[in-house]
Amino acid sequence: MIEDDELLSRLSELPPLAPDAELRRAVHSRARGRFLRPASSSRTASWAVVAAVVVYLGWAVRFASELYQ
Amino acid sequence: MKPFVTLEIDFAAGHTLAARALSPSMEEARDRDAVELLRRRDGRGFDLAYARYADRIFGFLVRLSRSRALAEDLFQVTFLRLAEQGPRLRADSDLRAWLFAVARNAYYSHARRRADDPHPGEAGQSALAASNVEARLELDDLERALTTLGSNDRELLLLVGAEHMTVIEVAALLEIDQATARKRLSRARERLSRAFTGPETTVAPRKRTP
Repeated sequence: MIEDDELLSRLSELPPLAPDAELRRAVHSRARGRFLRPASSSRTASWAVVAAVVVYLGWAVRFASELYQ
Repeated sequence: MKPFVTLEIDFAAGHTLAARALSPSMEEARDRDAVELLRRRDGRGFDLAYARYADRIFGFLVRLSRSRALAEDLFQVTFLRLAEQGPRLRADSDLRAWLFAVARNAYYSHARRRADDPHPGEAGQSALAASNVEARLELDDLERALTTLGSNDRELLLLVGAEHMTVIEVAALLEIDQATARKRLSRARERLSRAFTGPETTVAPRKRTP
């Protein structure tokens, strides 16, 4: 398509704009790490909430039962 | 299973594959390999995608945002998104379109939050100068003309002109119909032509774009 259009084809001759080597390495390293080890914080947080609720309910039942003894 | 591809990446030296020298069919084959590996959470898939698209996405973002500093942030956002979403890509996903869509969405999300897309022709060049892109890369007249356009025009021209996407691909990426994409491209091209050569001597297309 752009071969037919002189102006558009000139756009493909614009000089490449590359990230600095340091940025390139840093982003690659961080993103690759996340790709290989997906964040599990949400799952951990969910289990923490469930455990806290169970502990609280257990304590509440025990406390209530002791009131009537 | 045997690896799909052989990677030739030298990140230490900042070099990447000469992806653009590949034929379109080879490029598509490499993208399919990358998607397949990404879906299996294979690090080689991420490496391949990064090697093929890091520079192209970064260049697109610098020219779209007219700010190297902002482009660096959005570049990181784009590839972190690939890290998160890569294993959930569909087998028939177009990796190039997906990455450019993520990059442009990241830019427009940022622009909406900050409302910092200045009027074309006013802050564009100063933004580039401030980020030292012009000094480092010695932008030519076309580059300067491009910066005077609005972001909608820039993205369309960059996707078609620099990335060689077809109108059909661009329409799918921008989620607009093909006729609209064609009209927008024609208008953007006309504005670029005026900014590049002046109103008196616009560069006419040799042939009507399909």
